[in-house]
Order: sequence, then C-alpha cells, then structure tokens
Amino acid sequence: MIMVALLAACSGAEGDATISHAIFDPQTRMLEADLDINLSQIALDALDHGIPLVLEFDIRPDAGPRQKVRWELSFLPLMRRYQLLIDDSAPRFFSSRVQLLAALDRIRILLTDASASSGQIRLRLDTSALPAPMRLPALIESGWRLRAPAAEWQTSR
Amino acid sequence: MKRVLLTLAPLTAGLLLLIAALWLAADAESAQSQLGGGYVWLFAVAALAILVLIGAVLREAFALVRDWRMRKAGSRLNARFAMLICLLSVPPTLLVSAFAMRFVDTGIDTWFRADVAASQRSAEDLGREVLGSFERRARTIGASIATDNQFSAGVDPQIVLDNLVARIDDRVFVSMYDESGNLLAIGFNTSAVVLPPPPTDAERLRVLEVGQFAVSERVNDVLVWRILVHVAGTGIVQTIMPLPENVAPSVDLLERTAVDYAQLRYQREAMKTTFVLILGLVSLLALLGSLYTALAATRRLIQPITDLARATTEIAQGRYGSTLPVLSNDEVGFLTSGFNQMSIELLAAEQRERHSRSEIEQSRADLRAVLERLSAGVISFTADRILSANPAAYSLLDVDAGGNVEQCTLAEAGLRFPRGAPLFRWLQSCAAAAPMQWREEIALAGEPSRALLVRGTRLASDQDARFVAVFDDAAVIAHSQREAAWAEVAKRLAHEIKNPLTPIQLAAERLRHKYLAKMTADDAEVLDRATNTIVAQVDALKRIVNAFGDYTRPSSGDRQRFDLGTLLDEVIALYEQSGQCQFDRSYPPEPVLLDGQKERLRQALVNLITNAIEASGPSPPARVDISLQRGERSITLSVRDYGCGLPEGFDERWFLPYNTTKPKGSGLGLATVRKVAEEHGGTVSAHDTGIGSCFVIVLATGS
Repeated sequence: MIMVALLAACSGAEGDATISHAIFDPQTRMLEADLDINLSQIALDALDHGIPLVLEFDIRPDAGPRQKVRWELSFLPLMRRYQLLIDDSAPRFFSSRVQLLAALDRIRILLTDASASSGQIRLRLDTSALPAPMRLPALIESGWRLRAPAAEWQTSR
Repeated sequence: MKRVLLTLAPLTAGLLLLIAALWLAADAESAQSQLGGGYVWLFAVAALAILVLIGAVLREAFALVRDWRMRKAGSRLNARFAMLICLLSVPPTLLVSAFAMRFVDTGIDTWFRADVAASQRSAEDLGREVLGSFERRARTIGASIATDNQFSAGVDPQIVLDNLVARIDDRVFVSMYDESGNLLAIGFNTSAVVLPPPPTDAERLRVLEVGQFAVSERVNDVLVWRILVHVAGTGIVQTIMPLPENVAPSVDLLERTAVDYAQLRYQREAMKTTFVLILGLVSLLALLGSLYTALAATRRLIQPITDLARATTEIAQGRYGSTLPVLSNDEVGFLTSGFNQMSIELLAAEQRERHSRSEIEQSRADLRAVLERLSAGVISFTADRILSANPAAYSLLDVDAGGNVEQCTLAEAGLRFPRGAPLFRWLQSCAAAAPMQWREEIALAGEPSRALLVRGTRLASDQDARFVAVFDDAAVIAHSQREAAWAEVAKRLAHEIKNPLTPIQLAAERLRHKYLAKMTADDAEVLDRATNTIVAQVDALKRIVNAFGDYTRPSSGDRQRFDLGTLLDEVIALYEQSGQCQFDRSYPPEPVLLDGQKERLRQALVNLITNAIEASGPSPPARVDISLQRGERSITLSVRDYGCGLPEGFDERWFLPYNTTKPKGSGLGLATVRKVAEEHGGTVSAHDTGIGSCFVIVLATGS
C-alpha cells in the first residue's frame, strides 16, 4: 500500500520557470524582471481547488542582506475569482487563471536595501506553505517541484 | 566497543524512526509546517533507521540459523522462543496496521459525504446569488448616479454628489474624476470605506472604451463592488458599495468555508497518502521492533540457560569445575548459583576419587611388588576360579615358564598342572566348605617330593566368597627354623666364648713373658710351645667367633646410597698393598649406585676375594677378575679366580653354614655372602669356568 502510494506520487511532470532581464532601479528600489512560469498540471489543479500556491523569490544582492518575497496565488470558490497576494499589500483579483498567470509575466519587487548594484534572484514553489496533509506527498511528487535557476540582476543605467 | 555499537544501533534506529513518525504526524496535523525543508533530512534519517533495523534483524536471524545448524547449546530453545514471540507480536502488528490503513482510507472518505457536498454547493450557489443581486443593485445605483442630469447642468459636482448620496438608502462611497484621473468630488454615507485609490490607467482606459464596468474586491478587508461609469463631458464616476453589515459576516464565513471545503476535497487523496506513509513508518517500526525483540531479546533472555546447557555438556564430558557468572537475582540466578555449587563439588569429588584411585593403584603396585618378592606362594581364588598367583607360587608348584593358572577353575588348574593337583583339589574343598581359616601340609604329586605348608583364610566380601592361600616349602621352613635356632645358639655361644678369650690370651702371654726366662731350656721349650699353642688357638677361636658374629649379626636396615665401584676399589686396595694378588677390574664408566648396607656388602666382598685368593694356591701373586654390570633392575657383581675351581659336588648346600674345604675355615664365609645378598633382595651363585671358578652376586635395584 505504501509502495503504491509512493509510485503514484512520483508520477507527473515538473513545472518550470525562468527569470530574465532583471533590472534594479536604485532610485525607486524596484527590481523588475521577466518571468516565464509554467505551473505543472497538479499545481494548477490544486490552485483551481482552492489550494494556495506560494512563490518565494530569493533575492541575494552581492552586497547587503538577503531578502525573501512571497507571492501567494489562490482561488476564491465563492466569487470564482483568482487572487494574488504580495506580502502585506492589498490583494489583486483576477476573473480567470490566465489573467492571474499573465500578471506574473512581469515581476516588480521593492528591495529593502538599495546599496547593492548587482545580485541574483531565484524563485521556487514553497511546498512547506501547502496545507498540512499535502506537504508529505508534495515532497515525493515531482509535479510540486518548481524552481527557477538563479538570474543575475544589474542596476539600470 | 563493537558489541555496544551493535546493541545501541538498533535501539537508536528505532528511536529515530519513532521520533520521525511522531514528528511527521505532528506536522501533518498542524496548519503551519514546522519542518520546512527538513522533510528531506527527516526522510533520509527514517530510511537509514529502517535500513539499520533491517540489518539488525537479519544479523540476529542469521546468527540464530547458524547456531541452529551448528547445533549449539540453547539454539533450539532460542529459536522456539523467538518463533513464539514473533507469532505473538507480528500478526497483531500487521492486523492493527491493516485496520488502521483501512480506517484511514474509509474514514477520510466519510468526511466528504454526498449530502455535505451538496449542501456546500447549495450554500455557495445561494451566496453567489446574493452577491449577484447585490452586484446588480450596485450596478443600478452606480448607473443612476452617473446618469443624473444635474452633472450636465453645470452644477458643482460636489453639490451634486452630496445630494445624490443623501437620497440613497444603501451605503455608498462615490468619487468623481476627470478623464485624466484627477479627483473632482467625493460623497459618502458610510465609514466602511475610507478614500479608495483612484482607478488605474487600465481601468480608466477600459471604462472610456466600454462606458461602464464593475469589479468586486476587498478594500480595507471589506468586500465591496466598485462600479465605474463614464459620464460624457464630465469624467468618470466611481461608486463603491460595501456589502451590507448584516450580510457581510455570513458572506465572509461562507467564503472561508468554501475555500476550506474545496481544499479538503482536493486534499483527500493527499491526506490518505500522508497518513498511509506515517502509518507505514509506525507499522514498519513496530514490525521490525517486534522481530528484533523476538530475536535479540529472546537470545539475551535465554542466554543464561544457553550457558547452563553448554556448561552441563562440559560436565557431561568430564570437564568439571566450570562456573558461570550469576547475573540476576531471580530464579535463573538461583539456578546458576546452584549449578556452580554442583560443578565445584563435582570437581572436588572427582579429585578425591582420583586421589583414592591413585592410592589404590599404588597399594596394588606395592602389593604386587611384595607378592613378587615373597618367597611364599600366594593364590587368591573363589569357588569358581583362580584370581591370581604370585611367581613364588608358580615356582613352588614347578609350573613351567609361560604357564598360567589365573582365571582357570581350580579343577582346570589341577588338570593342566598335575604336580599341583593335590593342592588345587584341597583348595576346591576349602572353597566349598568356606571355613574362615585353615592350615594343612600337602604333598605335591610326582618327583622330587615336596611338601607344602598351606595356610588359608576367607576374605570378607559381600558378594562372592574370596579366599587366599599362602603356602611354602615345608622343608625350607623347617630349614629356616633350624637356621634361626642355630643362629640364636651361635650368637649366644659366641658371646659366651668371646668374652673369656682375650683374658686367656693375655694370661698365656703373661705366663710366657714372666717364666720363660727363668726356666730351664727344656721347661722353657715346653712353656713356649704351650703358650704359642694357646695364643694361636685363641686367635683361631676369635676368628670363628667373629665369623659367627658376622653371620648372626642382624640386618641394621640402615641403608645408604653409594657407588658400588668405589666400595670395590676400597676393598681391592687392601689386598693390592700386600702384593699377594693382581686384580683385573671391569666397571661401567658411570657410577653404579645402590641403596644398601655398605659395611655388610664390604664384608661379603672381603669373604669372596679372600676365598678367591686362597683358592689360587700359595704361588703369588694370585689373579682375580672383578666385574660389575648394571642391568635394568639389578646389578651383577662377579668375582673370578684362576685357582683350583669349585670342589666336587658343589651345590646350594655350600652356601649353608659349616661347609668348608679349608682346614681352619669356619664354614661361614659363603653363608655370610648369601645372607648379605638376600638382605639386599639378591642371590648368589657359583660356577666353574674351566680355569678356576666364578662367584656371581645379583643385587636387586628396583625400578
């Protein structure tokens, strides 16, 4: 029974994501980048069934403190609308999943420290933020693995 | 160290597995993950612990099978106990695990019963309907505000909004912007919304394009509907309507419930997988723990019994004295303690028995030695058969060398050895009558005639009646008795005679000294001859008395260890100094040691050498060969002369007193030699060599 559960869990395709054209504006302290993200089918299904997905951006300036920003994607079944929640800011609502994902094409992150002129930005799907019963299967299920390789960012001229 | 590691590893692994399972279970129940990225490490630790446990179980199982095949002590009991504990523990573990998994599978499904799902869907539909009607109303109000003709009449927008808001019963927050997004006026009748943000560029473009649209969103955590309407020539009117206060909490609750239920429904399979994994870990821990406990704990539990079995086997094989450590104060400890005491007592008993057996063997050897050297014949027997007979018995019965009466019946012995038939017949009759003691003189059959004086006794025995008969040559006994009597007489006679001899000799010499010069020649001649005769005869009498003394002197029993060659050299030196004899010696190069009476042997050697010199005649120097040979259990000493040889008719009787060919001999020289030889467990014999004679003394040396 355990083996069956494990085999079933290991199936499925992984999602993928790529961050590109990352530019940091020291004056506005805004880091902007293009994000090409493809969530796996299991992640999309979960999102459609009300499971919140948390994307964690890991910003590592070459000098200065490390910063993590969490974007939460969720679906409200009653209103049948998608919601994007970025840290403590007001949520943004989308009437369709396509619109929600389209809103992720361009990311804008306010950095706490403007001193660094370069650094790296990474992205991963935080499975530890999933509801408790899903954390263990998410550990062994490949569909829950989503990581964007580190992308270099530069200061805009 | 290795043993401690092997013991601690499974326990540590089991503990780690238990902690991992509990941690996973706790994490699965909590809303927020406590483990985060530690899931991978936790699973790695759990997998390693499982491998360690499996390894420990396999090691114990292999050890058990190996012991079983080698038939080691206690292995069967160990296997039986292990099997029993496995049967008691493994099936319940599997049963509970199977029931638990089944319960998880069905129990989770029951959470999502069809009526609950239908109710949830109905509630959601109802909620959506409420929200929809509210949206329609919001759109109507928004449109009615935007289309009011007061805006086109050039009245101040702020005044228009104030008037409009005052007429509306619903809670609204209305704001007016120009087409560039600049705020023109606001009007509100609710504090639920505080100055919302202006429309975004995209919203402005859209409303300019479509004329009107509505969005629902949360503003200050309040669900609102925002209706944007384009008023031509004036700008954009944004009407925000929050949900009514009496509906908002229900809608919020319904929304949270909808989210939770949707999540729960979606997590159903994931929950099953999670709980199955955790249950699997716990079940695996219980199963492996049961197996390891059954194998390892059983082996340790019955280890004292295994040790006892092995030690018992050692005792059964005759290795006494092994003890075991007493490790507990329970019944097993009591059993081990008792075993140790038994083993020690067995060892002590075995040592006592060995000592007793050794003493018996020594006694038997001593008895055998005594019987072999005994001149009397000894036969032990029962009514059925002869048990033993000593060499003297064979000799007295004239049994040929190689003849054997042991284990024969008395009748068979009589037939095989006819000369002793009268004795065996009489012994048979004694065995039948079984008297306690008897004594009889029995004549042997055939020639030469010999009478045996037989004395017998019945030995005390619980089983067969055993008898022992001691017999001797009646003639030898009579001779011995005569010799003893003669020796006693000779000793007394010598004592009585020797005392007055010296005064007689002194008196004769004094007479001669005092009166010889005073007498006439004739008288003096008579006196001289008479006194010389007296002195000479007194000397002769002294020699005879001394010879008597030597012969009758009892053995002192005071023995010492000495070199016989050295003693011979000392004796020969006396004769070499006189120049009357030449000696040819033949000794071994090494000392010939003997435990004996040195002075008695010196006397015997003097007698033999004196005889040899006297036998060589008056023409000096006489030649005497003396040889010494060391045998396995004896020393042979021979004295050879080149004289006249042995007298005619020389036999054993010449070794008895009063046999001599010498005119002045006492007849005790050879008798003394024989007596000294016998005192040393030896014999003396003589034979002609063709030129002279040779006397041979054989002395026993023991082993």
